[in-house]
Amino acid sequence: MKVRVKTYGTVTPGPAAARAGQEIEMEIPEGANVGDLLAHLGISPSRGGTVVMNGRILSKEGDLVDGALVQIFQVMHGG
Amino acid sequence: MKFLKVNLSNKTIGVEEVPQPYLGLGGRGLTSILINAEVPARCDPLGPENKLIFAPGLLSGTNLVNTSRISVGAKSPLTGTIKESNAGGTIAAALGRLGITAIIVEGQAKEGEWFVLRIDEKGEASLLPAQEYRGMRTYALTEKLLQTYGDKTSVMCIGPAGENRLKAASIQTSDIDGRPCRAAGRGGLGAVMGSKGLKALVVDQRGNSPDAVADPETFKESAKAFAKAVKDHPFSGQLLPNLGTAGLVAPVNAMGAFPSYNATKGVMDGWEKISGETMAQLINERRGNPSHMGCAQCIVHCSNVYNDKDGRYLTSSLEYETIWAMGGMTGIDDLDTIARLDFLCDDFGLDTMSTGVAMAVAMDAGYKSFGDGSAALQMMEEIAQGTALGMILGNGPEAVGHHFNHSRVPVVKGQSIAAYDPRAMQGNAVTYATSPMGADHSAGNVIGEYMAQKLDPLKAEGQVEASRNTQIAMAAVDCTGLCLLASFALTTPEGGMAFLQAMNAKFGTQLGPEAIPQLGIRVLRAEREFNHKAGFTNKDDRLPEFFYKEPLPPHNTVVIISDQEMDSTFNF
Repeated sequence: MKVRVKTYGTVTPGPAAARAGQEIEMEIPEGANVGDLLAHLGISPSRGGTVVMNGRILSKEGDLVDGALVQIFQVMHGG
Repeated sequence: MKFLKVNLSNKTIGVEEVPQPYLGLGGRGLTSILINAEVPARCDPLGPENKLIFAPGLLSGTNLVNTSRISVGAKSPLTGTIKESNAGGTIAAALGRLGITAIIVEGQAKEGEWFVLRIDEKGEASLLPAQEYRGMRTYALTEKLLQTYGDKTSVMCIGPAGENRLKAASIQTSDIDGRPCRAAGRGGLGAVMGSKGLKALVVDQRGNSPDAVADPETFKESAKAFAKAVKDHPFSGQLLPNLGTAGLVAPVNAMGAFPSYNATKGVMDGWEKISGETMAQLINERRGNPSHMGCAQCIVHCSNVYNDKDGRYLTSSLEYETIWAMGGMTGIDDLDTIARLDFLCDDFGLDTMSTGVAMAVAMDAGYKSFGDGSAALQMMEEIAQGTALGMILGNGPEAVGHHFNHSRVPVVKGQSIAAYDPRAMQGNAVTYATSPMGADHSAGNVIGEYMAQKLDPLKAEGQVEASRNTQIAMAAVDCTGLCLLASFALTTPEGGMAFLQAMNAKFGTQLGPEAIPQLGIRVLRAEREFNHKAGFTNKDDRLPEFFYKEPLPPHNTVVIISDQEMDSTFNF
């Protein structure tokens, strides 16, 4: 299935993807979860621990939906 | 360890050793405990009985990084509660280097009399007539004061808003570059300073009489270890130097919690135009500085210098809460307009948050349209001109709501919420409702718990506990002079231990980790006690009705924390 991925802040995807801030479309295996996607992108949990889809933060085990936009952030605090 | 007591009624200055009950206190702990003990809770906040206290943190003036935060405390004319408003810049470090634990401003000058309080490099204080500065905006005033007293001077001052005693008036303070762009913004403390007749405080930065460090060697080692922890932390070491606090625009919109169009939506249309990522790119293109050192002792560099399209200085520093209040709440998606509004607030001496939300309430009431940047600039002009409507806007969102008979006013105890909608972040609903300061962004913000997946922002479970723990932690941090944005290094084992070691080495104590929450609880208790004496009860610890009834898109949720749960927040 395909998902659209966008990273923010200083989250930098590995060589498999485009530069941070640019939306990319990716083909991932059917049934792949958030943890699989992060591993595929080469993003460690400490760099991009917050994955949001449809306004909700997903856990590493969270399921991805075909065609959805997946936004990846590092953990931030109020300021 | 000395108090500088300045009485504006009889123009006297006294110096005294810190009295026993206040020993070991600094920052917010000192301002709040002293106000609770000495200020009549039902006094007129703008009258002579109120006290305005400037207290650097316990570690301000030392070599520990990021410890140049100053607490300003008084009874607030905006909320009627006790208030601590916290600012960065250079003045906390300057006072710490002079061994000044607090400046306590009492009494009230005669109407029309204005003074500058000057403290020289030996710590000698004098009250100087300041009639010539009357009416001056903060940038011109600070430039003039630096010309007069030299570049190595820290300035803390009010603009016309404070002189006019507007309830959204800030106290501005100078950054490393001598610009009055750091603010003790919340609670209208600029109006208290104005009511005293104090236009500015100027402090020589070259003082060399700090309180002794009990164990200098251990302090030096711990300070080094703490600096490493701040640099190693992904938030303070990576994100903030690149995007500043504006980095929050993207995730809070993604989570549907960015109060937009006066909190009618949780996602702003076109928020990407005002995101931290966009801002950093613009700043770079225009040769500003996206990673600016704003405060003394700072190694985070979350500040920025934002230039206009011609490369000329427009403002510093453009922060998340300002971008939200002047952008999200008003629907203005143009960063240049937001930056201009930020500069004007700093220059008039106004809280950007209360002012932006006041405009948003006016727009929601139909006075102007959302997204109309020219209208927002025109409203700023009304405030500057001191027109009737300008006075209402400058008195904050509640005053605007009363004026337009409009009930959608997102305030608690008279102070506006911050850039996290309580319907989409239920823990922040608890903090807004129960903080002794009124709604507040730095009193107990739990967004980090959500982003780290420790808590579901939309469910009630765990929110009271998260708010309670964060409020306690923030109350303690605010005593130390440590910047909130560097404080997340305390959550790492290395950072937490190094900081505690530094505290013990500074004061010759043997405090354990439990001392930190104990301090926070002591401060919150004093603040709650003052508010109780001032007439506040649990019934005041509630959000405005529309947050309970009006679902917020896209999650279409309302605040679901019950009154009983709210009332259990301070069950310690």
